[in-house]
Amino acid sequence: MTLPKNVYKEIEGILGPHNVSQNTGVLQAYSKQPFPPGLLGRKRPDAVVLPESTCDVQALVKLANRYKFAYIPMGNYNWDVPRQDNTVIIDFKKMNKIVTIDEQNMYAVVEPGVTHAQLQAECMKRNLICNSTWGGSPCSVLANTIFFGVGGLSYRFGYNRVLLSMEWILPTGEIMKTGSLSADGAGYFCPGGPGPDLRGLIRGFFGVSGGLGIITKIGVKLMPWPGPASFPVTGVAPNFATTFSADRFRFHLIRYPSLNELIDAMYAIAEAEIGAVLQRFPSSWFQWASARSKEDFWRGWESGYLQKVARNVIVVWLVGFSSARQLEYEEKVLQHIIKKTGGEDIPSSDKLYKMVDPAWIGEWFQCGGSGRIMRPAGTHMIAMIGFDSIDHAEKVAKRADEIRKEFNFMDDAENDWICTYDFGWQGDAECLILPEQNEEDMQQAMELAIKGLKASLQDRTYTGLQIAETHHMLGPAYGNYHELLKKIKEVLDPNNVANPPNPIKVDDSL
Amino acid sequence: MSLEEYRRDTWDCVRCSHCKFIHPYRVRSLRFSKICPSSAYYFFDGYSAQGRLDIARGLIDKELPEASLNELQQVIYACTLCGGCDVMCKYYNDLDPLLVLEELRVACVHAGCIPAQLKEIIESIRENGNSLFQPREKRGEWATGLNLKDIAESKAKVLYYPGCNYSYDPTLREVSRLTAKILTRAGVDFGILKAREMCCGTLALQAGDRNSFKALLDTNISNFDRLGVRKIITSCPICYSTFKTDYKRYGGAMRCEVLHITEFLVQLIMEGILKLRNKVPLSVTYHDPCHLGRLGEPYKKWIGKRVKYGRYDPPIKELRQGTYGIYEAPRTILNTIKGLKLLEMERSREYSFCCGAGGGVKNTYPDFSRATAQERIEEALATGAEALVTSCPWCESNFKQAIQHGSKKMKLYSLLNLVNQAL
Repeated sequence: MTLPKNVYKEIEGILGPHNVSQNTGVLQAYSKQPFPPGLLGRKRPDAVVLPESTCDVQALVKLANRYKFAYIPMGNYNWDVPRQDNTVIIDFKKMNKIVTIDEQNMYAVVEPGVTHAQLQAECMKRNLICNSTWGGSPCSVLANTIFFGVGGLSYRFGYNRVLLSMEWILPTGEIMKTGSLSADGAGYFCPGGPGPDLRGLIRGFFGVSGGLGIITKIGVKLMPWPGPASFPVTGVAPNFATTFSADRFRFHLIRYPSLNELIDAMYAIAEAEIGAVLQRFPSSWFQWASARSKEDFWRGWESGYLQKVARNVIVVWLVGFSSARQLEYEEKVLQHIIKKTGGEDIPSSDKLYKMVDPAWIGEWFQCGGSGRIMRPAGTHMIAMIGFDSIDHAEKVAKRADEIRKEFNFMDDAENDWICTYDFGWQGDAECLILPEQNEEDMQQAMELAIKGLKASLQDRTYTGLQIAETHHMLGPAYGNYHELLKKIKEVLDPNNVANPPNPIKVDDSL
Repeated sequence: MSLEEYRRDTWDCVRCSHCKFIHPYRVRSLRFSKICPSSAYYFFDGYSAQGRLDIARGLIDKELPEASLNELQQVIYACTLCGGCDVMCKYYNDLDPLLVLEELRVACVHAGCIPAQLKEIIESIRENGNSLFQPREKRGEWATGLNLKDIAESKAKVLYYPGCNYSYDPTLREVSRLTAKILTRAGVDFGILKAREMCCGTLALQAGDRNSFKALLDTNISNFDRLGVRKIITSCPICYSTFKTDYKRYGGAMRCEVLHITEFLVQLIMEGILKLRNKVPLSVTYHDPCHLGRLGEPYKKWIGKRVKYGRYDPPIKELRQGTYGIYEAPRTILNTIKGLKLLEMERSREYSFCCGAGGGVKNTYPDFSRATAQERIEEALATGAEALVTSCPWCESNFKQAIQHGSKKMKLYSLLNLVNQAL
């Protein structure tokens, strides 16, 4: 423990003793990330604090600058742990207010502690819906929105488009209000002005993980919800059954003979601007989504059934957001496309369809099952990412297959996630591996990821894994963007106290 | 078992935080979305299954010295062991957080770090056969004037076992007396143990004192066997799950069927033996006791090891996910009562929010315990119901105190009390 006692006392003075802890058990609870200690390094924090307001956060950040201790803002699903001594974790569980849900202008204002499930539940009562994150519904709406920012409905409602104005505590403790929030009384409705629009600075593909300060409130765009006032589910866990009314909701699984035809179909559906969800899933997804135990997963997977029937299957959700007639129109268009592209609309009586219906098909509206991806092996990693167009996603997925074969992970090859956002304007391949959380597997996973990065550089494809450790490696290939990123960090965070080494390493101490 | 045997569980926790909330599909509001009373009260992650798994991992991997258990005692014991985290976690992965919590307490006992209040309770159980510091010979006083069979003296088909609270607590005794009257009226051939009845041992188990628990297990099972008991009906969900599940977990061979009174009453109602004729014009909401609901589901012993990917060898290990707890029996009874309207709380059945009395918390951390009860009462009030109903002495007692001392007022009934009104 390196935090001086007088500093601890000052923190207690700001937040109250009940909101600050140095109990060993409390500290230990914020010290794990999946990589073994030798790989990335991790330490127990020196203290954990629970701010209750923006003023609390601001005062704490100013203190951090005065005494030069580091801080890490923490949500509900974060593997960011201290890499150095003298670090304080800021847990936002007490800043969990939905400040407002503006039904007329269709946006909500939330604090960092509000989870997706909570906001979604409150929105559904008002015939609205927020984008549901695949990180799992206990994730913070705010943290997710300023990070990756995609979710179940990003195909229809856009990649990273739901972030509006922000209340932002800069690393030095000043408050920055972006977009419309900068004008007195204007609220959070507009990200683009009249104040500065700095979304690009904090958002990116991987976000900045608090490395440029702490966002304490955001406006988040909402969409219409034509469903009931609460998520329509019956049954006792794990035997859930969702019940969506057929006049507004229709779920399709469409199978194609090959990846090429599947990609053509994705383009055709997106160009027709129909559907709320359009994705291709790994075939193992059907198994881990529906498995009720580890053994259930492995027995199903090892039977080989999915490897035969679930290759090149896309998921399409049609939703009548405005009316039942809209749904009927989209259904007709979809059937036309299926016919034209040689797809097979898998009937709801089919075994494959029943693996996800009725238990799982609501996942895109209230994400309650994505955590099951941990079931097969203990954790998962996205080893390569192809983020550009659908074609590009296909190219990266194929390259990932080649690289993955060199490693000893579960074989779910030729079958990565391919997502589309903004009605097909963007494509995203996420190449999945399922390692165990042991030194050997995690070491291999890391090697695979680095190999993937090098391949992407060679192929001139998108380089995923843009995290603190890799910017210096990627920068020279992309106009030395890392120098700019470094400069931003140095200017905004002169004392390097905002979750170092995020978003980029500025000294050699870590 | 030992803590080391759960290494895989501790490492496979990915801090998804599902152990802190009810299942997203069932979240109906921000206000009532949490499942873990400890996390809801203390907020720091140490006070959650995730944090406690991290502590266990620290102890196993020697990141934390055993000497730190003294400091860790509060974090480890400020938990009601309600099993909410366990049910949530098992939806996603094959981990046993509840068993890890139990092992942490066993480690504390080995290190001499058991809270003083729990130590005293265990001494009371050893000396008096009950957890309430009451004389052994007064255990059967609740039945005074009812003229019930002493099962040790005259044979009976059924043993009615009220448990410590319903035997001794004067504010709860009415329930055991009503139960006996209802069983008599229904013509059930039953007897009681009177002063021979012993505590089931749950508090010893929850405290982490495995040896004391095993001693009680042996005593109780040999008593039941000696008396030829084939069916036990209990009013206490904690005794129910202890007999049905925990005894099995610790190698006890119960040769008798164990039923909670609500299960038995449903049978009597369905067979037309018990008729609920009277109207009870009341809107109520039912609180699922943890030990009758998610922790009341059957248990199948599994012995083996974990291999590649964390798979089991032998392969079939049944995960207790809260699916088969006793949820419908109490609801069926309430729905059978004419004029009574049942309204559900947002957190119900497998996601019921604990009353705050379990895990020894009522004795060790009374403020936390009371705040948890008050949180549940607020949820009950939010349904618009006039009354809160439960079928557990621990829940009833904790709610009663929270209502007496808190600002939120609500009528409180034992389910048996309503059945009696309806007869």
